[in-house]
Amino acid sequence: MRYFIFILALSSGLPAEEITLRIIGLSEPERVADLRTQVATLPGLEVAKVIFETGEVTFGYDPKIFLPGYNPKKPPVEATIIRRIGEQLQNSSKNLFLLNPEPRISDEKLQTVHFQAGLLDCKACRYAVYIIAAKTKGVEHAQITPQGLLTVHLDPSQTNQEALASALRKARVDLEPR
Amino acid sequence: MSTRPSVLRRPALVAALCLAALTQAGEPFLREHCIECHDAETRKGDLDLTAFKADLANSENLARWVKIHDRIENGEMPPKKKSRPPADLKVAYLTELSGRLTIADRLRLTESGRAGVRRLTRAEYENNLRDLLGLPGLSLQNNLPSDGSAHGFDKNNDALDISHVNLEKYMETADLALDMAIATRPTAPPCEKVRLTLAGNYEPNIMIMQGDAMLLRQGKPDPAFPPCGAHPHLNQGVHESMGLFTQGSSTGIFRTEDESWHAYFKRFAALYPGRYHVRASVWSMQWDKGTVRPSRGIEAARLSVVQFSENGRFGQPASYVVGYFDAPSLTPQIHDLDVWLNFKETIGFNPASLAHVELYSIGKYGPKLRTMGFTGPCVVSDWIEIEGPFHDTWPTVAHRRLFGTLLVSEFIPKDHPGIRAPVRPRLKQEIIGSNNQPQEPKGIWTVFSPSPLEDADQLLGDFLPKAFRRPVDEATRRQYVEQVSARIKAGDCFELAMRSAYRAALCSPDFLYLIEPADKLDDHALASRLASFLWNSRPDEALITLAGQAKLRDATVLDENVERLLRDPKSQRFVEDFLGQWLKLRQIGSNDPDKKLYPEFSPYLQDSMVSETRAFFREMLDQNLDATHLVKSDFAMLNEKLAVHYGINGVNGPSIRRVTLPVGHVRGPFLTQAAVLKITANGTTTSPVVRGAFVMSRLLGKPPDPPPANVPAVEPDVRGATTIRELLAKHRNDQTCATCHAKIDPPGFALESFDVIGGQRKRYRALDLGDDAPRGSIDPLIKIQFKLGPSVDPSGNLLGEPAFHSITELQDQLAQNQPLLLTNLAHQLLVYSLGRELGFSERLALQKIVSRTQKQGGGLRTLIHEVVRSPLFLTR
Repeated sequence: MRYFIFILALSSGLPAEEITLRIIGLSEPERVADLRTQVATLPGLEVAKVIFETGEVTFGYDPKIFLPGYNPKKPPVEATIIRRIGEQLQNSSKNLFLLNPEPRISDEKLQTVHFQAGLLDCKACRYAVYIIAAKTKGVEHAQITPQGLLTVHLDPSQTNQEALASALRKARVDLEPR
Repeated sequence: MSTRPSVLRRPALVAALCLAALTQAGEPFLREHCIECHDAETRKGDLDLTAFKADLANSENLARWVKIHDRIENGEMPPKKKSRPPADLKVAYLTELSGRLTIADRLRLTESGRAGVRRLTRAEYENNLRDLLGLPGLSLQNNLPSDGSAHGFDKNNDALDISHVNLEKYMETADLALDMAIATRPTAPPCEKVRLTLAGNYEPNIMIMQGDAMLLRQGKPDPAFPPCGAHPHLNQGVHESMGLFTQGSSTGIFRTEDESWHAYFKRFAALYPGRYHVRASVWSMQWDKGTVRPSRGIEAARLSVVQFSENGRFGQPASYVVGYFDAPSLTPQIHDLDVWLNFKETIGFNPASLAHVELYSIGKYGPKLRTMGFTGPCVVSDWIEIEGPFHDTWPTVAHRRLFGTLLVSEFIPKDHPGIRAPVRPRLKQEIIGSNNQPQEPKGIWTVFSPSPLEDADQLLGDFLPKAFRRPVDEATRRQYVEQVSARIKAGDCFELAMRSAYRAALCSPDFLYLIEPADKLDDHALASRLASFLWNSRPDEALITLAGQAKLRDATVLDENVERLLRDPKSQRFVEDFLGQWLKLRQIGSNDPDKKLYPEFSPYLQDSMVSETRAFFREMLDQNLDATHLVKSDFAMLNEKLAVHYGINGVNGPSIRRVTLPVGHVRGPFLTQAAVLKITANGTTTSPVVRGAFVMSRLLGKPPDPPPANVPAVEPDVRGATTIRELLAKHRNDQTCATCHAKIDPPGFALESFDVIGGQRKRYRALDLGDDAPRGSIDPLIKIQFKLGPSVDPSGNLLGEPAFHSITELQDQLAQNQPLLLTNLAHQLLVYSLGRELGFSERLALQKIVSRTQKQGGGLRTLIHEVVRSPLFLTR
């Protein structure tokens, strides 16, 4: 199974159901609030829980509102729900929040590497650096600080520090020695 | 019926008689004083008087005799080294010659007419249509081929030919005008108001990303989008997606517009032509490595109108400058202005008063901190608001002038079987990035008439006299009505049929040509000539009414109307058109000064130059100042940019105002205005020959002969080893060159005191050789690479005058000859307003204008009145 999913039926109130997905775009803790703000603009969807360190987000949704043409007698399959959340999130955030389509890498395989990109006092610039790493195949999760410290958890069998450094430099990120 | 003597009806005979008398009477004088140098053998100046047998009916011969007359009269001939003719003999000969030439010239004018009919110039065509249709922003002249020029002006019928290209373009242009005039919807397009920031537009976004601009909130750097430091911002798309450009922040710009970038408010591009109200909030500051400090003074923000081509994807220069506006220190100033926007047009912004800096490259070549490492001035645009289009009435005035009060209704095809409706292209927003969208009604809306031919007769009966600037007889009107009738029979709807007649009228000779009766002008021709002169356009209703009542030729009425026209804002068209040609202001941008030699030059300086010259002429007109102001003045019309350029203190901000000058100051008059000095230079060097010829022909009215063929131009030495005076000295050693250059060069030598951009100098600038140049008033952010080469020698002497040693002394000498300056100004105004050169026989009338003007103080406004009152103006 590509996605790690929980579907829970709640006893009362909206949203009626929840689903947990891995998200790309949480470059720093401040972005969690951005995600909540973004999702609040999507009718029938809300953020129930966020684990920043892993990029896991639990979304609550009211299928009657969030899923067009929803029929309780014939509920959509998981993939449809996931696709709908992905599209809505991606479009409304103008590609800043994406579903992570890659399978989760087990903790024992993960290696943590760091890059120093100098002072990055602009949130968008930090995101620009972060996203280069976060979208690289083999990267499980990344985060960045205003001081420009980029931390990347990766699977060394799929990528490595040199490859990431090269990708960052190609995107005009000036890396400083650590 | 003519009352001329019958002999004048036989020009060839009289011309022959003139010539005979001329040669017989003048023979002793010519033999005594001229033949020695101008015989078949010597032929000085390529003139052989012994072979000069052609008659005066030949215009070339006449012109040559006029030149001989003028040379003798001015004392140029015989030359000083030869024996001078006794004064009484000279006077007698000139009197005799003048009389003969006058008769011959009158005959020429009688035979050929003083001026042929002439067509409208491009500017007149545009203004005529603007005023006829009540569409003040109609932009047409760039669709038409350029006009030629003769005797210094494009209004001259010798230069205004017409070709199939013109005709094709007239058809297209008439359609453009009609498209804009005809209402295509039942109600006015909605008037909308948008507030726009520079951030959020493609090119400004790049500048912000790279460090040449920055975002501010509440007068401080925007914390969400800090200024660039060691690095440029990364990934513009991410910044856009986060909405950082569109949060309403102000945009501070450090870099002036150049060919590689423009700051346009591109999120709006007009869809509906019309009058828009624009408000702009601007201020300035001194940026000091992250801190906002008070600015050095009032900076200038330029607002322009930009028309995009295609989908607006590619950069292009501003269409025209709306104005330069105060950007005061730290406190925003809101400027309100009304502009006319056409389809695909928007507003452009430029921090015009700043020196050109490129902070994006600083990280590479200079301090490694881009914006955060920079100290210098910055102009800030908070926002602009664009509101419109405004229509006082609907349908518009333009539509009513074509269709009166006929209603615009929906054309439903099934209700009009077999009738061809107008084809309306679907209006859409074509400019990428512009958010305003069309709001068009469904269906096709057009004018309906219950009685098409009766309405056509009435509408054309109203329109044609206005278009043709005179009463239109019934037969002519019937032709156009028949055209409407034919189109209706062919299946056109009423609008299409009328449109075809209107297009035909706007392409007809009656509209395109200024048709004047032979000899004395009738009132309507006079109204047209007056409006063409002072408005560069058509007569208004008041003039047409007076002409219809045959009152316009009354001297008092004529005077009152000259005043009325001059007071009307449309007279600025005259100021701009006349100066554009008389002083060649149209050529101000024909060359760009060398960036190494003149790094302080900027488009703002160039626009200020043009504004100075126009404002000075307007001041002469409004204050009725005399012609000595062509060469000497106790005031100048300046803004801060020019004042700094001229070394004058105490002028702040971009607006042009009258500044009193200290006694003996060289600045002020046309002679020393930077615009004139730039136009007469080539961008790299100055030439006393070019400038001298300009002064002779444009300010003194004594145009030099054109240079002989096959004489190479004197090439200046930009390295700085040799002065132009030294180079010219070699040239003048040639006897054939010396005579003319003795007249041409002296004023040019005095004007060597000014460089190619009109800055005063004592030494030439050079690229290789010379001493290091002091910065002077050049902005500290501008890099100086030029050297100071040889010294300027501004001395010389005008023919028959004592030597001068400076530009001031030349100004004093020229100013003493007020009649000469006034005569030239009168001559220039006459050539411009009549559309032809003056003949020899009209010199007396010219002198009368000058003399009457002088008696009333010699002012420019008086002169214009006298020009209009003169028989020359009142006669074709």
